[in-house]
Amino acid sequence: MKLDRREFMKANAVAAAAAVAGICVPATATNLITGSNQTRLKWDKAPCRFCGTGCSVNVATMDGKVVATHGDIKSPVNKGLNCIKGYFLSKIMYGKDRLISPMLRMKNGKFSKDGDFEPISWEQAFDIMAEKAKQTLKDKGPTAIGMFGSGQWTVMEGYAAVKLMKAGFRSNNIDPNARHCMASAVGGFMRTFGIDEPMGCYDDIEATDAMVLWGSNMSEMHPILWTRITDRRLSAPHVKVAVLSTYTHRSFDLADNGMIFTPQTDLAILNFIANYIIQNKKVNFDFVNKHTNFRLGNTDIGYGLRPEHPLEKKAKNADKAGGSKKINFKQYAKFVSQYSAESVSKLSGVSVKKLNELAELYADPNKKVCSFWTMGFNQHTRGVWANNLIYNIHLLTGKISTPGNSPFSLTGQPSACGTAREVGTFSHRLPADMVVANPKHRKKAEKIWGLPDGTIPPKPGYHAVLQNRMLKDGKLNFYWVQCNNNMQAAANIAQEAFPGYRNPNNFIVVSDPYPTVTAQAADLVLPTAMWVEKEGAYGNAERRTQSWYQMVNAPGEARSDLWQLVEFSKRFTTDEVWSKDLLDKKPKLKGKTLFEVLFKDSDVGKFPLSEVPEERLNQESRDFGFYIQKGLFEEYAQFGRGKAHDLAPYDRYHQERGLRWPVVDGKETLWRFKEGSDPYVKPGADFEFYGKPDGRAIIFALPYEPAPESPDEEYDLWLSTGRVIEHWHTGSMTQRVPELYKAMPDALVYMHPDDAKKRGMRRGDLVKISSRRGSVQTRIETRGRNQVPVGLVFMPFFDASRLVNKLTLDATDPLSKETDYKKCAVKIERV
Amino acid sequence: MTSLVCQTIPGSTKNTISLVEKIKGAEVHGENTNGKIVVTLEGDSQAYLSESIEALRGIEGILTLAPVYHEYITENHSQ
Repeated sequence: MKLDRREFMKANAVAAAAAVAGICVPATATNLITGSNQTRLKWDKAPCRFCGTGCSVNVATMDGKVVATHGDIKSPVNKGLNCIKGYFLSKIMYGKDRLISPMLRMKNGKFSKDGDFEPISWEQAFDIMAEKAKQTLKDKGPTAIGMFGSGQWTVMEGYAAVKLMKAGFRSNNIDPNARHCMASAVGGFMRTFGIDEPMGCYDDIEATDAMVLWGSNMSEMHPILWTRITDRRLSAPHVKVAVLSTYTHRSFDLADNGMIFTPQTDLAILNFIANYIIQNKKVNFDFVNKHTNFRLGNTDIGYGLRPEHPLEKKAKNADKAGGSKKINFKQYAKFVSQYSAESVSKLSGVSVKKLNELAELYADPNKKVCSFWTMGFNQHTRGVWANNLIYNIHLLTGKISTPGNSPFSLTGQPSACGTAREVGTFSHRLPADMVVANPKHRKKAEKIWGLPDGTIPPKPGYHAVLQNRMLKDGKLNFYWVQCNNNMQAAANIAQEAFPGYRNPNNFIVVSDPYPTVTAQAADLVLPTAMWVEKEGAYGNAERRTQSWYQMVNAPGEARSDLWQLVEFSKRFTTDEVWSKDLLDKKPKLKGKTLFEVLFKDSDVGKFPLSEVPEERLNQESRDFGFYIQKGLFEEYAQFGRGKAHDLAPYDRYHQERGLRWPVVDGKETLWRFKEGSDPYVKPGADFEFYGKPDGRAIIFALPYEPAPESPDEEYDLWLSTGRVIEHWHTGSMTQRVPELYKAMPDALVYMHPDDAKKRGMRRGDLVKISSRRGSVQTRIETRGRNQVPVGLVFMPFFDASRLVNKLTLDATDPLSKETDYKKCAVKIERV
Repeated sequence: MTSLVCQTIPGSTKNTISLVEKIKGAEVHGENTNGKIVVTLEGDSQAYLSESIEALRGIEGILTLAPVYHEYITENHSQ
């Protein structure tokens, strides 16, 4: 049989698709021949660069470039599948405007805040950075230095950044963009369980009887997990799917019970379910009595706005937001009894029938239930409460920590768990769930790092939203942004972000592969290596740590965030950054560079370059003279081993498609807190929530409270922002893939046809959307994938040419400091 | 040229396949009992392929869609 080139290509395409779907196709289509080019391809594995699902992909390189990727059939997460973003991974590195040289704003050959960007060398870039950082330290001390990092940093990059900032510069002003994404989830875990991250795993999907989506459009945002959910729903007819959102999206296609609720009323619906369980005598008292405590949380806690804002002044407990007191089951039952089906139906707009149907899924003792949530819960001025309230339901029924019973917080970024949360790149955290405010935790970190007692400052630093405010107010003056695009992603950018970047007293450094909105607002731009242009490790939503090797070199002068951080540390000696008192406690550190103290001479420098085979790329290790990625990983792993965060030896991750921590005696853990599946649970305990001193999780009584801003006569519509399947967050990578760009080039505003008609507008009209903070122009979409209800509009934030975050309000959850991007009030006029 | 695995709503698979085949350049190559189908899309530009994927996504009977393979060739290589 002879196949021409086109038929051969089609045969390849069909065979590959049939293999992952387990479908038999006619023999002609599977008759594969190895082309001459294919034998030159070198294949290796890597986790996907995008969302928190953690799919594994096979990456083909040829002549120093990534030329192809496909879903890794050996991956237990994606089983050979890819979503459309992951599918085009091979193209994200090759956008035409890739940055290949450091760029500084200059006039007459010198740095000038109002100058134009000109290419400079790395030497010159570090010169000006060191000069500005040292001046800032001298003038104002460590609290005027800050860094904004990422849940897309590798584990090693995040760890190196924490060490450099918290120990080296002695500033806790380091925060990841995961603050915008997962901070409320972290707050929820810590408050209810005393330990971060989900107890269950993706295997729950194939074991469950019911799945409930809360504020999550998994169909577009976690498409591969959605494929697994779809497979489960369709292969087991008894399985039910419920979807809750403030508008109809593609995940509703699979829903047995789809519910649209008025923004913010999710809190009331959650309390109603708890009330239903109690009223219908479906509480699992055996579980509740042995494994839970009840507490009443403080209410009226404010909205994380600037302290002078009237809403903050009015809030009774703005300064005691985390407070709570012990109550008993009876008091809790009385508290939730005010949330009847009828009253909650009136508040939320969801019918009594649908509410009861939803509650019964949770209440039925014979049904295993998974709850999934992402930004609808987390980006919420009561985000930690929403997380607490969903755990209440699973705890009241004992539906937790066993296969198919799983309250599961989905993750937005590829390593929000691995890097931001586990490494602790937040302004209040240290590795393995430790915090800077706890003297024992600081001491432990200082011991592992071989540094004098008292190196790490005890006061939490500026979190993401506060960093922008402090830049504007001139209190944060040297600022380094890596691996994120906060000038597009932060809320209320025109008023609270841009002024700080352009404040003449501040020096802003942005590291990025592309000239993002943030890079363009900076003073110095550093070109950055991305994904398989460096070696790294990520941690996904189900506690799975995955690693990969460097496969290609970055273009031009681009270097990884890790290289940039470590190379910069050579510019400082301990005498320049630490006090005499501190150095006197460890005189042998005097006169050394931060590079020596923090990296080369610490446990980070322990692994010789000889462990990197000659044929393998590793730009950083070859430059620094030791296997730095392994050293950082192994030193970091010391924090978690024996503390229920155990990681396997680094080299093993290169052999596996990831392992779920804690990895004890070489074995990963699928379900935590349950005897038999979690080695940390004491024999005979059955369940043990060992993050809390008494092993009991907490059921919190917390009320519905309104949003800080809701529609009124002038600003008469709710605005919700979010994502689309084609683009990754702010689109800095996916907008450069021609196929993805063409599929979804512009961010449109989705509006109900009746709302459009009422305003004399039609689909495709150019309109101006305004809030109290700013305005943007775009076109109206009244059809398509998102069907919004009357009174609400939705606009995605991927589009740099129309920045929807000029409209959003920088209100945060007072507990998690995470911004609510889902609720503010806008008006829409024709242009 | 691109290939995709699509999950159709079981029971409506036949109907969905006929809708898919109405897209210019689309072909269905196989299905399984759970309603999964293998689709190829052929077109003469990247833009056309993007549009066809968008058209596929818009078909009501399709629940999930996973691209698996794609390749571009210039016309003179296809002979």
